[in-house]
Order: sequence, then C-alpha cells, then structure tokens
Amino acid sequence: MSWNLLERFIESDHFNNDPSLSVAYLSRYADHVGIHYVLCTKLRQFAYEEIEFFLPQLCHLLISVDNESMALEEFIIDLCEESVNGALLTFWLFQTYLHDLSSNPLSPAFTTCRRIYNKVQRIVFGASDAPRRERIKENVLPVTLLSSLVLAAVATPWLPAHAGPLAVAQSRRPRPAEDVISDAGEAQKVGVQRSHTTGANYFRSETQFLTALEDISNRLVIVPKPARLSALRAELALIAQDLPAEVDIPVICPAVLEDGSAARSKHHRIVRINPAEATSLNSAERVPYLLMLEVLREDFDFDPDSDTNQDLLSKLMSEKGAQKRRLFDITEASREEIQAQTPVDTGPDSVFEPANGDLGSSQLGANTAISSRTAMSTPRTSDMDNSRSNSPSRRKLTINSKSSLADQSDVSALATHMRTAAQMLAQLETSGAKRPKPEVAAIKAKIIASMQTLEEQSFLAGGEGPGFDSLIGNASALAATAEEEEFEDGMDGAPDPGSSSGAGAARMENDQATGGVMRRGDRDDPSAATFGEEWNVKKERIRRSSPYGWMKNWDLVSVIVKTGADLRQEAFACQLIQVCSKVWEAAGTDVWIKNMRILVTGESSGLIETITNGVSLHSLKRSLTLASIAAGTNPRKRIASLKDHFLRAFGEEGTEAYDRGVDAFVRSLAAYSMVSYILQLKDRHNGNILIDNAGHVVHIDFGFMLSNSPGNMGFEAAPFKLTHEYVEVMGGTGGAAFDQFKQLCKEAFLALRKESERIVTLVELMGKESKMPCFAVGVASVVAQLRARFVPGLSREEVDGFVDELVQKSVGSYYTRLYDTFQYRTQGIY
Amino acid sequence: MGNKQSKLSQQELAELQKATHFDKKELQQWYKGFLKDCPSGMLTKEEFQKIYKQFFPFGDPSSFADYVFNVFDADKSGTIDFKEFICALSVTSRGKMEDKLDWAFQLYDIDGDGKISYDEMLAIVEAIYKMVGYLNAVEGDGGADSSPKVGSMVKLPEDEDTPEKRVKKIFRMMDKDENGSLDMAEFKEGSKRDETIVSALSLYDGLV
Repeated sequence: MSWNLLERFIESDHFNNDPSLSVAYLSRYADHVGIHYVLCTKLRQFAYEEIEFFLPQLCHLLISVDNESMALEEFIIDLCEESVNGALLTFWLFQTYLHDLSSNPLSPAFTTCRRIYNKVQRIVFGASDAPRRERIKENVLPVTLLSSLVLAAVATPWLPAHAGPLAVAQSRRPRPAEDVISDAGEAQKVGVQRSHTTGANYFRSETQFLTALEDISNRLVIVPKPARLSALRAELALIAQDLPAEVDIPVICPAVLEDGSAARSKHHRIVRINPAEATSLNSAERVPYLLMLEVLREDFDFDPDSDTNQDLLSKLMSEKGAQKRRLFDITEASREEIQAQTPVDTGPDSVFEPANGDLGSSQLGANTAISSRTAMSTPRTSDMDNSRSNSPSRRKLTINSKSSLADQSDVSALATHMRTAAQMLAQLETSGAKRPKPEVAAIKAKIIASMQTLEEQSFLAGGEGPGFDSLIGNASALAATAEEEEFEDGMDGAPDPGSSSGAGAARMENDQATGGVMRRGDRDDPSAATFGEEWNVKKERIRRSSPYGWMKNWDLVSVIVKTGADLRQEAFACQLIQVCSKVWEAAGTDVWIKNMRILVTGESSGLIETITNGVSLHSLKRSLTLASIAAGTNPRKRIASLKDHFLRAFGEEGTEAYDRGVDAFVRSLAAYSMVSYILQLKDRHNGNILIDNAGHVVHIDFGFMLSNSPGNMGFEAAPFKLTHEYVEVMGGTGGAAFDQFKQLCKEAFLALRKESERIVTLVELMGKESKMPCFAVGVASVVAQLRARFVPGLSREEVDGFVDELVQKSVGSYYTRLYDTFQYRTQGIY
Repeated sequence: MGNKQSKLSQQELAELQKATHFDKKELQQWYKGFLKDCPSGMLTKEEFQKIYKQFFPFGDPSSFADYVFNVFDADKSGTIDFKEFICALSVTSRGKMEDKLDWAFQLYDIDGDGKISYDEMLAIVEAIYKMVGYLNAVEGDGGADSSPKVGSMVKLPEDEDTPEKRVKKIFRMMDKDENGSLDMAEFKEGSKRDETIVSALSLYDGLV
C-alpha cells in the first residue's frame, strides 16, 4: 500500500471505529517507527474496555516483535498509569512471558519483558510520574530530530507537540548493555517515597489475594482426595479472615468505569467467602476448586478525596514501617520474610523479587525462616514448584508450629492441624511402600476421618453457615462412594466419571461446580438433579446466611480457581468467540453464544467463570437415565436423550415453553456449530457441552482448537458436532426448527466470512512466537487453513450450498458417534 | 574529529566541556553512542534524510531535513561530526532561551545575511507543512477532493492552515518596524512574547 493510501485508510471512519485494525496494523507495520507511532496514537482514542480486550495481543506484540519502535511500550505504560486494572492485567500477562522466556535471559524479548514488568511495578508502587521523567539515552538519530524540532518551534509551535512525543520515546530507547559506561547516573533516582496510594494498595491486595487462592490449589495436590474438601475449607477460612478488603475479581466481575474513564473505576469488593460453600473439584492431578464470592457492587474506587479512601490511606500510613502482616497470608514462613518497607528506586531490577518483596516473593536466603522440621518433611512435588513464574521455589509448604496471632488462633490452629495431617498423609504416601498395605490404609483412613471431623466441628461450632454434610456441594466429594449401576444398552462397563481420574472427569469441573454430577439426589428427587441446585436458589440461600446479604449491592459470584494448567489458550479461544459474537451482533444475526470470561494470572494459574445455570449433556443424560431406571419407568435401561431432558425441563411438545426452549437451542447450536467449524474446536464430548436452563448449548474447554486435537487422531472429522439427538430436538431433518437451524448457520457463516480478516489477523498475531499448543504445527499453516475454511473463492450463492454441505456432513457423522462411543467406553462420558 | 577513536582524548574533552553544558562522563557516553549509531564517525545527509522519512511517513520531509542539516553542519563540510552534534544537542536541551533562539535564527536565515526575509520564513514553514503531510493533498491529489486538508494527521486553526497565512501571522507579530524582514532582535523579542513558542522551545529541557 502506498503511504498516501495508507494514510487515507488510517484516517478513515472505518479505521477509527475499530481498534482491531490498529492492532493488526501494528503487527503489519512493525518495522516502521513513524507508522507505529501513528497507530498507537489511534489506539488512545478508544475506550479503556476496548483496549483491555486487546491487551493480550498488545502485550504479545511487544514480546514477539523485535523492532525499534517505542510507541507501543509507551502506550502500555501510559495505560498502566491511567488504570490500576490495566496495570494488574499487564503485570499478570508479563509474568507468563517471563516464565516462557526465562530459559533465554539474554534474548531481546526477555529484556523487553523484564523492563516492562519492572516499569509496571514502579508505576504502581513508585512515584506516579516516575517513567515520565525517564531520561533520554544516547540515541543519536532521534535526538538529532528532537533538536531540529526545537529549531522549528518559532515557525510552527505545534510541531514539537505533534512529533515530539515520538522523538522523545525513541530517544529513550534502552541502549544495549555494553554501551553503558557505568551504572551511576544511568538510572535516575526517582520516587524515593514509597507511595501509599489506594491504587497501590489495591494492586498489592489483589495480587496477594490471588496468590493465596492459587497456593491453596497447589497445596491440595498432595492431599488425598477424601481429605481435600476439609483441607480446602480450612485454608479458605484462614483467607476469609482478611475480608472484606480492597479486592475484586478482574475480568470475570469487572469494575464499572464511570464515564468510560479507566482512572475512575468502581470495583466490586469481595466481602466474604463462606468456606463451607467451596468445593474441591477432584480432577486428575490438579486440584481446581469452586469458590462462591460474596461481593458488594461498586463498593470501592481510587478517588483520593473520598472519606473512605482518606481513612484507608491514613490507616495504611499508620501501618507503614511496622512489621505488617501480609494480607491473605496463609503461610507463616512468608510472613517472616517481609522486610521493613524500603524506599523504592528505579535502579534495582525486581524481576526476581517482585515489588521488592511486596508481592510475596521469598528472598533466596529466606529458606532459613522455614523450620528445619518442615524442611525435612516437606515433600517436593513438581506441582508445588510451578506456582509462579518468577521464583519457582517461592512458596513452600510449611508446618506452622509457632504461636499465631491471637485474633486468628482458632482458624489458624485448624489450618495448622489440617496441614500437619496433610503432611503426614503425604509422607505416608512416599514411605508407604515399606509398610504393609492394610496398615497404611488404616492409618490413612484414620487421618482423613480426623480431618473431616475437625472441619465439621469447626464450621458447626463457629456458626459458619450450614453443616457441610447438608450441602449440595459436598456431593461431589462423596461421589466416590455412590453406587454404579449396569444397564443393558451394549455399552456397559463404563467407569464412573465422578471417581475416575481419567481425562473425562478432569474436564467436568463446571458440572461439579453446579452440582451437575451430583448423584445422591438422583433417586430421591430426580428433578432436582437436572440442574443441581438452581443458581438463584443457591444465591438466595447464601444471601440469607450472609451478614452482608441485606445490602442492596450484594451479589454472588462463582469462580473456579485453577492451577497447574496454562489457561492462555482457553482465554484466547474465549476472545475469538467474543469477536464472533460481536460480528453477529453488529450484523444483526439472530444467534446466541456465551461469552465466557477467564482471568489469566500466570502461566499455570487463573480464574474461570462458571456457567451457573448450565449442566453438561453428559450429566443430564446420566441423571435422567439413572432416575428413570430407579423410578421403574425404564425397564430396558435405555440411555436418556436430549429430547427427554427438553420434555422434562420445558413441558410437552407444542407448548410455548417447549418452543422457547427449542428456539434457544437452535439459535445457540447454529452459533456454536459455525464457531466449532471455523475454530476447529475439538474434544467435543458431552462433558464439554452444557445445556443451560433456557435451553441454550454452551461449549466449554478449549484445549484443542485450530490445529490440535486429542491425541492428534483426527477422530472428530465432522465439520462440527451435530448428533441425531440434536436433530431430534429440532424435530428431525424435515422439521421447521431444523430449517431454521440451517438458515441461521448460513447467516452466521456469511457474517463471519465478511469479517474473516478480523479473526485471521488475531490468530496470525498471537501465533507468532507462540507457546500455545494450538500453534504447534506452525502459525503459517494454521493461518492458511483458517483462511481456507472461510472458502474465499466461493460466490455469495455458492456459500449457501457450502454451508448446506457442512450440515449434511455433520448430521449423525460416523466420526462424531465414534468419538462419543469412545468417550463413553473409556471415560464413562454419556 | 572525524577519526574513529573509541574515546575522546583529554584535550578534546576539555574543549567540548567548555563549548557545551555536558560533563566529561556525559561526553564520553554520548561519544560512544555516536560511534555506535554512526560507525563512520560522521552523520551523513543520507542518514539524516532517512530518519526524517521514518518519523514522518505520510509527508515529504526532504527539504526541511536539508535546511536543518545545514544548521547542524557548522563548518559546511557536508557531514556532521561529533562536535557539531553535541553542540546542537547542548543548546537545544540545556541551553538558555537566548542561546536557543540564537541558534534557531540560523535555520530561518537561509542565506546567512543576518535577516530573515518573508520568503525565507515561507520556505521553512512550507518545508514543515510538507514534512507533516499537510500539503500532500493540495499538491498530490489531482483535485479529486474539494477540501485540501483531507488525509492530514495535523489539524490547524483556520488562520494558519496555509504556509502563507502562518508566515503573515508571524510577521504581524514580530516585524515591529514592518520592513518585511526580521532581524535577530525582532526574532528573539517576538518569540519570547509568544507563550506557545516559548514552551515549544523547552520541549525536552531536563530530559537529557
């Protein structure tokens, strides 16, 4: 494109209304400093939310593109200055990159990454204008230009303001290390006073809070399954003591921006965690868990003049210098590691000691703080070691034998007991081989029983809500004891998904979260099993038990805390789906798709939104089948179908409620079908497909897309999943609903095809230097195949026929049936 | 000083220290940077043009770059050496307002006769408008657009939207004796009276 044409395009309304174009062009014109600068100036016109959406791309560009332009870095730093929220998300993203790049610390990417990571922390904790006063380095060419702008000041005083920022930014570009003659004078000392702003307090509290949540998940790995729930609740009780605090759940429960201003965000404060409502989701080797967080909507902000914040600030100031306890600190050892707060200067490189100790890193020598007894007895599992990127050995499992602070003695003692018990169990596991098996089992059972009793007593005595035995969530922990029936449909012998540690079970976290695999209710009350505990019912119950429940802005948020898995690809999939959703919205396509939200906080940690009103197809069918057998209405033990569920949930065919349910199903199925085809979503077994209470399909788990598939077997060869039972719900291939489905597929596909470059550029951009498994075959081939799926060569009319073909190929695909059969046989997924 | 020694000699250092606002260490540091970016020890006109082209992708900065180059190239040797570079940097970043204006005067006084004529000022302003792409549409568009400002990254007030208007405004403001040219005194007085000019002249004070 000629410069003139490019300029016209950049100045067009089309370009100015769509931040994704600026993002895409940043990648395309990466080698051109001037254009990079113009594009970053464009980005500044967009609202914070729009920029936040593309933050993963912008950060990836900074890392993956090695160019001379400083414009994007300046842009990101400015964003972090304006918004603590932006700073947090950037901080977490760069944490993941630090981990990725740490094996090659001399690479330019690592240097960039470290520089920005440090800058972000300095912004939050240092003097607010620190980076703006950063000095110019010995970059002769941009400095020359800068000088000439001064000359031009008389003729055109606006010129320095127009071109100056770019020249200054480029002049600040760091010089290669060998160019620097000596240290002093290079790093200008600024921000001697550690700032105690409310923003810094939020950043610190938030990172500590999430680290604490994730540490629990890591710690539970060594705890045997039957004891995990008890241990989880004890640990959470400890964290819950520090609530309410200035913490929220970014991305999943995002702050409200007043007048769209990122600086004036109003956050939803987490006021309470009821440990008894938490559930550990026993899946494979990891221990994600479900958490119910009570929040007060729009309850805190960073306005320095508000009375609340004035009080907070003076409280923070009074604590300054004192040996302040870390918030949400659940290990004694790290508490001792806190250093007296020292002045921050811009010099030190804090990559390996985030925020100079503030973010909970242990200094290398800090191991001495851990008692020798712990050091000997702590099992080092690989899971424990990858909790955070920057200091692998940071958090150690510790036994706390020291006296606790008086005000938390009870909970703390409980947690200590739990940990001691967990330690003993872990030791038993490792040394158990030397002892006779029955003896080991007996000891184990005894310890676990004692943990459970301890927890029970504690939560009952403390009046912390209902006894956990009565709680729905507990069902999953007891699932292992639930009976399994055989039925004759030629597919018997399937393992129990609830207790198996197979991959299938690992992927049904949302079900366990919503009570979907709850088994005990199956016989007593089959209808209750359909959706587990209805979200609204659960919410009401928790509201009534909460001391904050009476407040108007009270709300309940449910999230899954996950560690040990890289959530970046999942988050990227959700982002792509959201782009599709936006395209359809703009085009007025009448389809429905769920925008799932995932917060990535590290290369192996994050939070996932739960689909509160959805249950997997697997669970629906399973509980319906079991219920009908138990009720004696299914003597031949036929597996229940999706239609059975629709009939049960929405009433007779032909009723308004039933039609509404089918309509919701059709509109969502069309959307997910097209997305599945375009993005090649794989591993679409019924545990990964949910049905919500309106009848919508919701897909979860995007570990396989674009190019990779489970085992890379090519099992799921159909364009998308369209089973006979889906068709049955739509009244057969001749039904009106099926026609509507095909029509919506066409409209949805055409809309996406028109905007295909949006999706392609995002994929292309993120695929560069990517560590995501979906790019393992190489970004070029992924992009080429993605483009081809939009069949660019076909005319508008031909596309209709093409979509018809896709549908035809998918209907009752042999491969789809094969995959479901395979899943049922190997994983027990219905 | 066109040789490629890796460090400045004591004598050169002393000389430059006198001529600039930099201390010895800063001079050595900048010298090192200069050699890194201009390995020949000289900044040529071509390199000069290239950097402008990069920073102003949508305009034609060639004539402005030429005018500036001539100011930097104090000895008119056709290249800029380290001394010429560091002196320019010193004045523009750390110099007093008076010194900056003294130096800037040379840009506008193209023929070096001690006065800035209307045409000289117009040549410079035109070069700048061209550089930022403000004149693109007027000259290169073939009349497809009715408005000449289409496509420009810069928005200017109506009374400055052509080089002629801007130059007339400058002369109204500065040419006190109304003789059609600005001498050094008029140039300095007029600039200092205009706050936007004063702040633009201080663009990167304190940054170097």
